[in-house]
Amino acid sequence: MFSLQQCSTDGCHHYAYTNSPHCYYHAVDKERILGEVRQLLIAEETINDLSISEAHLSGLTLPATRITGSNLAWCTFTDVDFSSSVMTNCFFDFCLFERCRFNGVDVRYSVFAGSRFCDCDLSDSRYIHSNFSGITAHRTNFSSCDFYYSTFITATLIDSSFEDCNLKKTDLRNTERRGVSFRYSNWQEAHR
Amino acid sequence: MIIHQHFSVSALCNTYLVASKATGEALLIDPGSVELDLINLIEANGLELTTVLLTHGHLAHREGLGTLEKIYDVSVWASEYSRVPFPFNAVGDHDVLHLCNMEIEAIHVPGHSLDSVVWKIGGALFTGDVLHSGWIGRSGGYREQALLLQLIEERLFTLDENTLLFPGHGSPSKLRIETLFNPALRTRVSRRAVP
Repeated sequence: MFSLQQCSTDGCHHYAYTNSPHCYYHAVDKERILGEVRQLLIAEETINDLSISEAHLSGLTLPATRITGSNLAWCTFTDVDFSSSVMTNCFFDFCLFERCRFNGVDVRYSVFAGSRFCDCDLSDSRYIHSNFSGITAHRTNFSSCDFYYSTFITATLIDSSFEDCNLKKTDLRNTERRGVSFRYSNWQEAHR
Repeated sequence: MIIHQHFSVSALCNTYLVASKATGEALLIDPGSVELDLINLIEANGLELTTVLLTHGHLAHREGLGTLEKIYDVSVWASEYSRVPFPFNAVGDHDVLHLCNMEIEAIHVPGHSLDSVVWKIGGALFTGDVLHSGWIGRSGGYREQALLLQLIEERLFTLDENTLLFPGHGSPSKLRIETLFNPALRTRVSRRAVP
């Protein structure tokens, strides 16, 4: 698990960057940190215990990376391809994902709550025991996914597709849905 | 700190394996059932299991303990109000334990059951059936429900909003996420300032 040490800047609640007293936002050498993280994401097949908040990462393709126990909350991801990655115990809460791909990913016990997805493709994947509460999804494809025991409470889903998904024990209470298709999904087995 | 989750298919509950990175000493929280996957998780990571923490005494959260005790020599810790049919070490509200090279605080939050304990280890809360992602524990009546809501607000939501939540069922979360999106809490817990 990433270090639960908080940023040493007064009033900052973010977790500190890996092996640093400050979070990325309050670090003096942001460029170096961003370079390190970019290199880690595109070169390493296994990433454990990474913690970075409020970074903007764009134009990356991850090589089917296995990410465990990491915190990337409040980050912005533009044109990032996470396809075929395996994520366990990862925190992507309050992130912005623009034109990102998550095809064939295996995500377990991870958190995307409060995030915004625009023009993303999350299809053909497993998101088991994962937290999508309060997300906003625009033109995002969630089709052919397994959402067993995942939560979408108070999510806003617009022009998005949940076709042919496993929704057993998926919590869809209090969601706002416009132009959302659940065709061929076991809608009846979800909490709604 | 190392945290691994195990989902018990028979009890439908989460079991957490928490270990010290420095020493490899490990504890299990709520062994709902002990399956081969869980044993493999302990052994493949080279961990030394010494302790079991129970969030409460309901069977689904402790049914695997009998099997576990045949394999490992573990000490069991639970609330002083617990009535489980085996010996255990009792803890009271805000007792601090030093086990497995970690500092562990017991926070008594009755409501779902009288013996409900939330275990605080570092910046992580293991909430059992007290607080889940998107809902709170079910109670026997409206008084217990009101008590549970009040104690969640007083004892958990006074902690830092980035505190991680690992509930007994469902997905992980953070206190801030529950403050904003948990329908059971949105009317009671005041929203705090965005950093």
